[in-house]
Amino acid sequence: MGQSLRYALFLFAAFPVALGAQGFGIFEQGACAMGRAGTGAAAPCADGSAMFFNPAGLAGLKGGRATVGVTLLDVQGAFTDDIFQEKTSLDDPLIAVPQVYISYGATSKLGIGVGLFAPYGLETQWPLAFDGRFAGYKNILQSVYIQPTIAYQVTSGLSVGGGLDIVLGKVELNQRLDLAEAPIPTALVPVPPGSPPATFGQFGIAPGTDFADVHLEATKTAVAAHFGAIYKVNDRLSFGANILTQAKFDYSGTATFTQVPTNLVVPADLAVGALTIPAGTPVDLLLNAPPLSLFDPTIGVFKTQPVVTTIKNPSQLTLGVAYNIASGWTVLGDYQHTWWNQFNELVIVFPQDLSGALDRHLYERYRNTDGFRLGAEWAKDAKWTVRGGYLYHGGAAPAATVTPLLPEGDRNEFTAGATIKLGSVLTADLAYQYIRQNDRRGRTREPIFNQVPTTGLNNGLYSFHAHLFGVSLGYAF
Amino acid sequence: MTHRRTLLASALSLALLAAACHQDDLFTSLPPAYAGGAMFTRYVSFGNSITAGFQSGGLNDSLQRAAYPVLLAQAMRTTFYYPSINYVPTLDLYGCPSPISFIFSNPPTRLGSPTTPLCSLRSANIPPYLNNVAFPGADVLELLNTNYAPPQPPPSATDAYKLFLLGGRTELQRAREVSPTFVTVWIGNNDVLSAILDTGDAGQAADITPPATFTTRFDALMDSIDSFGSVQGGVLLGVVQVTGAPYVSQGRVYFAAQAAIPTMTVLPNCLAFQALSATDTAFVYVPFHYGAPIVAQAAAGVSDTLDCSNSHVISVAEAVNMISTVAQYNGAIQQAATARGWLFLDPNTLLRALAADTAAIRPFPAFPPHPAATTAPFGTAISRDGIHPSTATQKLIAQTLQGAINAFYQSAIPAVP
Repeated sequence: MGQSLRYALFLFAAFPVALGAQGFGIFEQGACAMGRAGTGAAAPCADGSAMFFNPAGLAGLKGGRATVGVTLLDVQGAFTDDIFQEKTSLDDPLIAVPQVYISYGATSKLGIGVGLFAPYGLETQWPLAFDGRFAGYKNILQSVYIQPTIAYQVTSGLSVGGGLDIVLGKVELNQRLDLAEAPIPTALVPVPPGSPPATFGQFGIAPGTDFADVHLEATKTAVAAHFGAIYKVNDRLSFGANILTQAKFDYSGTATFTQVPTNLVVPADLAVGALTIPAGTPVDLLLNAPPLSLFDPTIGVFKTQPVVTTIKNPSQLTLGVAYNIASGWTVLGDYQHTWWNQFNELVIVFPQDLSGALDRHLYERYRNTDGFRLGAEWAKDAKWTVRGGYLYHGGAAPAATVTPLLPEGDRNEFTAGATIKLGSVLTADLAYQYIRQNDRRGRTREPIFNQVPTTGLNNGLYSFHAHLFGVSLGYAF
Repeated sequence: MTHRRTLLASALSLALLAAACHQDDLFTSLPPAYAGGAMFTRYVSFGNSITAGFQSGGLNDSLQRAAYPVLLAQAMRTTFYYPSINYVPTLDLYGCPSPISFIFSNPPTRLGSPTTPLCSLRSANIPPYLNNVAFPGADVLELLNTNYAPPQPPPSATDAYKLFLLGGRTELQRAREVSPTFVTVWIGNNDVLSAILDTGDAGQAADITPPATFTTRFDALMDSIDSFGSVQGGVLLGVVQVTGAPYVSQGRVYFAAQAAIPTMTVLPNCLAFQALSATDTAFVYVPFHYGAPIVAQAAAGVSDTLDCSNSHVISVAEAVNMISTVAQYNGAIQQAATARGWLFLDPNTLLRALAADTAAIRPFPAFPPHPAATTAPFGTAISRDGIHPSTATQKLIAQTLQGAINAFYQSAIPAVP
């Protein structure tokens, strides 16, 4: 796929933020399903979003349908630190997450389609004054799934479907580096064998002294698969199952470093090993001159250089039931399990830095999550269908891994929506979703020297809620 | 309402309740739970070497944790960070610099070996901010913002601490990061102390910040602290009458000591004095760095003479100037405290009480072979450099502050442990 097309797709998919599912999962892949809390494994909406909620739902379609939708995300999050009780709010803009589904009933039993959706992704933007800037002040993870899908009605009750996902992944991390935590070469300040190197903080540099801005960016295309089955016991009761497999991205990209002035001056002659730094020397000059030469474009540790990492979008399973009570009423229930333990460690490697000093080892140690979704739908008449729902998810991040990158936790969510038939071939869907995440203790800093984090690093409280508005337009042909 | 609707409403209510639960108890930092404790939620101590915990000419973690602000903060039950300097004898790290273990050698003997680093690094566990922002060598000018109008402080041997302890920022800048609710300010000793440490012309007026200048700078300092907008109360400690430090001995004491050292002659001009009040008298003062070599030489059998007209000796007139200057400093400090409704504490009351016990503050150093020459050459209240308080005195200062703060602010800070 051409580079320009790939970026056009990213642009089209906008920047999703981790929302309706846990970890960096996103479940708002259609306004119809969104209105009923994302339920649909047993009875997907007829707008083509079955390609995400259960590919088997394409079987038995009559004619064709094209749906274009968008979900607008108004995300409100903040961190309040323990000591000063100062609240720092997320800087996330209003975000648009689009979906496109084109489906067609080739025969009475065979359905085909292609969908574009983004079930995994995140974006967290924090102000530069936030202490969490050293973990990441603008973090973007995008996964755009393009899924050709096929479904077949095996028997009158059983339908199966599947799709091949071509997943365009992009990761971007922007962070500041804190001089207080920066290691000093052991050639300058020797340390006992086995001990970590001394840091500039041990020379008194205060924590929170920005000295470099880091931009990491990488893209990769991966492949995943999607399978589903729906069994209709009778006209009222149906069951469904849906599996989306893991997508593994071996990212390779570029890291760029920009020096940030500290404006500090060495106040007195300072002897560091054999090196004497005269009083009055600007610290910024010291960092960029021999023997450190940190930002030298050819020999500096912080020269522009390749960076590699691996991120896995985890597998997920959904089991659902739908029951048509009577008079147009349908109730739906879904259980979702996501194997977040596949997001265990995030290792960012700088192959050209043989010292390994730049490598980052982030211990995420996510836990598998369970989600429960309840939805109800009432087809009032041929023109109007209204729906509502509630869902609950546990948090994927353990207590020691609630960070500025993704400060997530248990969530309760409420939804409402409607379908309006605008004419013989046009249908509109509207949906609203409120997400209330339980406040959760977390931290703003990663442990230095790639140590394993503990809850002892937690230094405040993350809060989060969001309003989502979904709209889609369907055209039957 | 039908049964079905009732169930639905109940379920929805429970879900909303769960969603609305704001977990205030998730915060770990709460105001100290005693009367008036909220004022001490974030305590910052401004100061110089005494406040930093400097003892025996050295600074390290074992001394820093004995400093009065640390002890006071422990009693306050408030989080308190200081810039810890490594003290790990097993790694040959004793401080920055290593404290003096024996002052009667030239140069003084310090803890450790000849290969001990002159300055051990700060501890690897860097605190997120500092509550004890004091640094050795600080005078009132050096506490001010760097954008304070000239003159900037002249270069000093202790300037390295500005980087080593404060990261190249001023005490005010580091304190502002903390948004303190309560402060102690003990500054000004170094504005006059240089006069007794001057090895060229002890006591000269050029070493002393003029009272009017001190007042201007101190007021600027207090204005800066006021600008934080977070400080609810504080204590301003007065400047120590440095002529009371055992680093200087009254000339009359040397005169009396010559009886025990036949080869030492002390001229009668060392007996000069001037009564200042019914309880206060200015004497001739002999700094340790000048008097000790004379005593040592005489004790070794080489005749030597102490002439108190020498410029190395602080004359009565110079002493009167120093005492008067400190009194004026303290007047300005007290006025600043009164203007803000803060507590003023004069440390000289405590030090005079200690001086009444000659074992606590020795009028004349315990020269070898006196058994106290190694353990407490200047008395148990003062460390081995003759100027800085010992651990016991640091504790006494903390206890005095705890009592005075409770009395002034009607608070109930528990006793200093």
